[in-house]
Amino acid sequence: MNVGGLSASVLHRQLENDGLILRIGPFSFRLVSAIPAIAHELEALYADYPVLDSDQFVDYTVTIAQGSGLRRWLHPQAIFKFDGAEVFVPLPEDHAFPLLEWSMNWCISMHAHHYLLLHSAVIEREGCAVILPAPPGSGKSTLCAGLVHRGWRLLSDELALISLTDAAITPLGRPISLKNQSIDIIRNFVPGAVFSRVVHDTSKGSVSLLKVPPETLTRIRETAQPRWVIFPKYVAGSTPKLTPRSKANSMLELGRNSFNYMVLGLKGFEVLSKVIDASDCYDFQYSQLHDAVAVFDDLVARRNT
Amino acid sequence: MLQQYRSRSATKLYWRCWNDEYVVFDETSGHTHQLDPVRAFVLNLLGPSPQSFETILEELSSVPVLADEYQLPERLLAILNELTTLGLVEEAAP
Amino acid sequence: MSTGLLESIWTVPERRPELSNREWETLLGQARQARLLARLAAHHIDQGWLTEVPDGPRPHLEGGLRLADRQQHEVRWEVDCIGRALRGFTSPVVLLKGAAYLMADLPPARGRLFADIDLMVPREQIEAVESALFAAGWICEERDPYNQRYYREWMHEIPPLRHVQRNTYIDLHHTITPPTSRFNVDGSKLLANLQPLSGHAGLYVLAPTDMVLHSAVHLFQEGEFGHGLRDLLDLNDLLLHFSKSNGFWDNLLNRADALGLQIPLFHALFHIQRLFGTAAPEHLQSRVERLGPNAFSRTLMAWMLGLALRPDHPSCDTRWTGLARWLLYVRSHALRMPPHLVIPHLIRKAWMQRFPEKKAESA
Repeated sequence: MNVGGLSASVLHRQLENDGLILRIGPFSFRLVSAIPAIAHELEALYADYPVLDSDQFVDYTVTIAQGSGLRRWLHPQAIFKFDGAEVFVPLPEDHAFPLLEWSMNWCISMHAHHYLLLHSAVIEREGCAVILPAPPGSGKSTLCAGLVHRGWRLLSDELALISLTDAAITPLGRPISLKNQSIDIIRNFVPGAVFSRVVHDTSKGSVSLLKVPPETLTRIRETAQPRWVIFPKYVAGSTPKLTPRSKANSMLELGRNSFNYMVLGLKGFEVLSKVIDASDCYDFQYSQLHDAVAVFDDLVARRNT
Repeated sequence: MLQQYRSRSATKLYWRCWNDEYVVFDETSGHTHQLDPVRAFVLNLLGPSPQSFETILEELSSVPVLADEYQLPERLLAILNELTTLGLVEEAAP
Repeated sequence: MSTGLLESIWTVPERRPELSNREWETLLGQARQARLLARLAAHHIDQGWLTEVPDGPRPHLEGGLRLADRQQHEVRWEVDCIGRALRGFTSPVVLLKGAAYLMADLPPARGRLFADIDLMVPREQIEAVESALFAAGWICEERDPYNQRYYREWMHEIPPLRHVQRNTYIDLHHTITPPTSRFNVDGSKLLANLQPLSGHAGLYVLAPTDMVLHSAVHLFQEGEFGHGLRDLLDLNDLLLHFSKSNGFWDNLLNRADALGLQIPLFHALFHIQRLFGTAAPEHLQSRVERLGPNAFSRTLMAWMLGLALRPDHPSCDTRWTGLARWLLYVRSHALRMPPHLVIPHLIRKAWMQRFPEKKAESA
């Protein structure tokens, strides 16, 4: 049974009471919230995600609570609670759905130390995965959103889950987070794309989440081996340029873009080394999505030459 | 020079090399460093027992490419200072 | 009843937990809040049960242990760096609490999550030590002059020192309790009984009796009751370990008298016996009884502490828990500052929490 198979009233009721339990990648999440916008967005963006029975073990329970007392009516708030404690400062209720996404990222990045966790996107084609690390604002998510609608499979937009045994990458498959101009760029690039309501004035600007292509979920259990590490950088007006990059330097940069590289100690070093062993590393500068598609397709075509 | 140097955690260093660039993981501190071949070589020369600067210099000079290097002692001193700052090397009392 | 779930792991340690999925979730949540996740994992490993934990909860236990293992490395490294920074000081530098347990290979170090490193030095050396640490990269973070005064004049600490590169913290003390507290311990008495740390010249730990008493007084004064269960587990570990030496219990009681720490010890022993069954030898039982305050305040105190020592998790809240915690918070502040100083500080602290100068950013 998927989220799409639940009636709206059942969905609302579950969310408000015992929580809605979803399988998201390899994790199970229990989502609890009385905020109506969350139910609406889940219906729109999570229709294809499996709903689990209430007797399943749940990895993370995410509660997005409303403010209490007078606050509730004057300045409605959305508050992320984990293990009963407030984790972040309260946000305006308007930001509830992006907060839900950030909260789920937090749960994974703080606790899932049975993976090496990289702050990066991962896409795959013909069995080869590309890791796209990048600090915020470098265009990684736009690039990712574009490529997965041109033949690439999405494994993850924000968090790469790297196996500690064989460096395989496990898909997470959550909606893709887009900001500011990226939202319009992707609207044009992907006709019919489903977005969550654009939320303005967040700490990241205007934010919206893009529903993932169905293939993401039908192949959610298929891992992939890393083949390329590509550091993207959006430079307005530039021609596309793929430049080889030092492996050693790339390894250190990936480590810096990791949530738990330091926590994993020697194991982290060994796994990250395996990733680098297997991957050619590049810097990629671009301005047009269709240029990027051509370059990436070419990479795959040439890979054995 | 009377200074002596030794590796700060000789038994807990792990190495990788790609295209003549070295990465070393220091398990004691948990830090990962990128080193060029010369720094990697100098670090690798050092063990838990202190060695004098002269000895290290001699070993460095024995590398054919470096034998004629101008200002090798000064460079070596700079390298040793850098490795000390990174916490990989320490000065030992003579 | 789920409130006792985490406690029961250690009150009945030989019973393997057989839990439903929901119970596992609650247990993991309680353990996370109480900072005992890694210890819970270590317990399963020691008993040979980890492989039998169901697939759902098991990665959470393993993940918690990874974090603790990593922190152990980091603490050893920090201690090494501290040793270097303070090389040349002839006066002793004493490691306290977690760092001491780790470096002296004591049982409470296993599965422990570490935070700041606590150091104790002779009072007259504080400034010199602060300077030496500053030269090695530890800076005093506290800018607010009010808070600086709170720390320096009224507490027993200088404000936490943060290392500029590693972002690790040192809390520097000259005794184990605030000078203004009812339980005022003269640091020089502790310094007279130190044990050197082998392999680390210049670094020391407290004598076993003093370690136990420090842990007891810390537990009941600090007001940080979310960690109560963990601190009690540490204390229990220390008692079991040290009582293998002849005469330890006698020494402990004598030392409590000498340092004026009978009341905290009494409370600690009360709860440790209640939870884990660890007790002083027969011939000392009546002496332990006499440590405590009068019957009525003893009962009230035990009830409040019993509640407040539960993990800070919704599954453990009764309608009294919040009140009990607040009362104890006020009480522990009453122990630390002369009465006329207490209220304004509490108000100011609450004010600063509600209107922080910098808002934390969300992810």
